[in-house]
Amino acid sequence: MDLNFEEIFDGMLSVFGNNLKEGGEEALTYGQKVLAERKAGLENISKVFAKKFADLLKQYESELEDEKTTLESQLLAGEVIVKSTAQKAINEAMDFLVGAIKKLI
Amino acid sequence: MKSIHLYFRQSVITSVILLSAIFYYGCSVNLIATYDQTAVNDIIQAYQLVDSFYQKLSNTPEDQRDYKTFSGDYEKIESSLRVLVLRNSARTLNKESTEIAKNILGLWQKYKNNHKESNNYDSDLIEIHRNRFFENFEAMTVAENSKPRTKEQ
Repeated sequence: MDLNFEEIFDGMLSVFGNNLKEGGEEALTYGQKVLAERKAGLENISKVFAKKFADLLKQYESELEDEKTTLESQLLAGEVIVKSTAQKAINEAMDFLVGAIKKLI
Repeated sequence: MKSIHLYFRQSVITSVILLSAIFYYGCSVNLIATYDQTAVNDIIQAYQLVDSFYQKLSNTPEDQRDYKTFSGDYEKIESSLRVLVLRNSARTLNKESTEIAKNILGLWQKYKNNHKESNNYDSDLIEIHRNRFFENFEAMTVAENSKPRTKEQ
């Protein structure tokens, strides 16, 4: 996963600054300084967890795919049950026909 | 005149019986392979290998679950699963069981490659995969047990 942290951090600064404007220039300068100091730490955490989330999502999708495979296996077993039942029904009906004809002799 | 009529009637009846017999024995409906006890034994045998593997994996501490330790088991079990696919594909009217066997083999190869790439096996995934194999093998057993005992059934 490509994480453009510079772009995200610029957005953060903008939101942060807009909220601190009301506190005056001093508050704004102090706030921007504090946030700038946290930039490296925030970038590091964001990149590590973005990678973990991406891997986790990939793993989750893979597991769901395997669940689909399992469901397919179970439906295939269901197909065997249906075919077997249909075969039995047809052949027993044929047995009945042959039996009925034999009685005519 | 009466004897001709009687002869005609008997001929019709004989023809109907013969046709029915030919139709029945020559064209009895076969939609699915017949049940095979050997196939059930093969399924159980393959499942035992897979389940024992996951038991061993589960009992191994996470930091010792490197791929190399288990590579021999992977190859041996993969070979058994390939044989399971081949034996099923060799039987006529056995498409569904063959597909299930292929699904099992596919899952096995996928998990083997994942283990090889990451050189580890997550404990939560061990349980999930172990249960998944059980469900797939169970589906294969259900399919085999549902098959008719004889061709005519």
